[in-house]
Amino acid sequence: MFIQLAWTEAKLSLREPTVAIFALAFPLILLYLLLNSFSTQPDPDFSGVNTADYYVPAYIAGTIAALGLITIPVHLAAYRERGVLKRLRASGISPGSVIVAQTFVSAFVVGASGTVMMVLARASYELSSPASWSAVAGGTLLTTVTFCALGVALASLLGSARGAQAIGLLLFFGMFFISGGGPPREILPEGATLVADAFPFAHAVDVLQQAWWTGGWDATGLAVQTAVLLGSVWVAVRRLRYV
Amino acid sequence: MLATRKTSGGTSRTADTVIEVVGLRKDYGKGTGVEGLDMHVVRGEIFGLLGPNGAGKTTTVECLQGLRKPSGGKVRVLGLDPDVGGDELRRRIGSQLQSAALPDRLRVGEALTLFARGGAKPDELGELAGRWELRELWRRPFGKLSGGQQQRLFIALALINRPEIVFFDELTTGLDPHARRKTWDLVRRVRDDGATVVLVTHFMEEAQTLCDRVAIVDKGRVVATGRPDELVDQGGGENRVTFTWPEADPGWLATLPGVRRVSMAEGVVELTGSGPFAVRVAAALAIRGIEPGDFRTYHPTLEDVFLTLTGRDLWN
Repeated sequence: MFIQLAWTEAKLSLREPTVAIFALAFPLILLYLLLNSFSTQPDPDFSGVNTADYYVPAYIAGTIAALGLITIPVHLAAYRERGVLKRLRASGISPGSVIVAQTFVSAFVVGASGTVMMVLARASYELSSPASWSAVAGGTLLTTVTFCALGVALASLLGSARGAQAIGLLLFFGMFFISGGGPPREILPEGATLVADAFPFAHAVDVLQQAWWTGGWDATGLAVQTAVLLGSVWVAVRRLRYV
Repeated sequence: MLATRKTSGGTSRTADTVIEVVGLRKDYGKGTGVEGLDMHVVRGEIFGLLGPNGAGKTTTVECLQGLRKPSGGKVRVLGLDPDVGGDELRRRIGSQLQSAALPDRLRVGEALTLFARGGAKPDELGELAGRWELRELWRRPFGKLSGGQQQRLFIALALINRPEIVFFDELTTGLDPHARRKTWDLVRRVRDDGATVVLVTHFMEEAQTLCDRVAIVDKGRVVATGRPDELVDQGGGENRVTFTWPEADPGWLATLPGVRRVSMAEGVVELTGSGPFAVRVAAALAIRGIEPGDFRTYHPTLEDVFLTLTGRDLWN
């Protein structure tokens, strides 16, 4: 039953342009361009690592943020707006199981997209292996669940799919280029870094980069992700309506 | 005068009562909602909730399905309180909801497989799809289906797990007259296969031709319940006959049994009466060799019943 729902949601996601564009094509194309623009030598401006080691974890976080800030809010808001959630619930499929299925699908997309990034960067751009695979996997899982919960909370606060898309795109692109997706944060103006630190995206990048480079946990990043996760669940439980 | 909240047609509450609603209330911040609605539905019947838009029909059936929480009153569906036993209840009922769609990119076959919840075997799904003419649409996305095809899919989805009660909410809205009549046949088939059907509609004709019993709903209350013919007999007003007749004084027609009133305007005679008076009028005219080409009879409908009970027509 749940597997059927998750499988159906997965197929729908792959037919959904926002997933193909923002979660798959956009990060991969941009990563490819960036890796071709800089040398493969370690660089102090890139926290002392090479471009691939800097950007691959950052772009895995970027994929996660695109799913959480754009795909999930638009998907859920459209489901509610069109009565799909009510229709499913009337047949014994709860909105909660739809959300869990979406989270599974998002994790799968992150896994697939991350694998392609790693294979590409390893083959041609001297990507190092993570210092700890388990830390990277754990960090990826935590940030994925956090951003999915944030997406559900956004959907519960925004009335329509159109509104969700506008706010989601604004949040994603507002954060993306100052949180590690654009120029390295070391060379950004201080004001931009301060703004980035006020949003969870930059902290997700920190968690994945620290896990990749040192095998350790970025304490601030973990605290922010956990707080955003709990806050989002709290908002979603109180505000999410299926009609 | 028609008695309100009437139970009739040998359908008093029995062990066969599958839905019982007493004093259901649903308050909204603004608007009517539901204000003390009573009804019961018997196993195996097509039960209609008829009323204008905004009367509280959809809110009522959503409370019955456990999709909305009532503000007060008692609701039992298949012996379960939908608010408490909603999950078990929803496994035993089927629903086609008003204004509820499916994702545009979901294909017909995927929808059927998903809603089968693992309960239906592939050959059962194939049989269901064949029966509702969906087999050739199996790979077509929901967004590319016509209105009639979407409704057929919704009916199939509502029936997929062999439900004991099926709810149809404004099933034929948006369909052309031909598709509507075809859908009515399909609904009768659902009943004949053993399910109980609750049909929400604002189409008088639909309730009158399709339902075994009807509850007329207005402003969140049931104002009358009964078999459609019974309601019409009791509250629809008189039958009428009209025809053109050049003769000056049709007064003698008033002496025929059952005729109550005779009037004439611009050469058109209008008679009102009860029982089989129209047949007697026709016979009396034929004996006298009078055979008007525009002899017409008018029977009251549920629309007239609604007008009698509320002073308004169904569309306002």
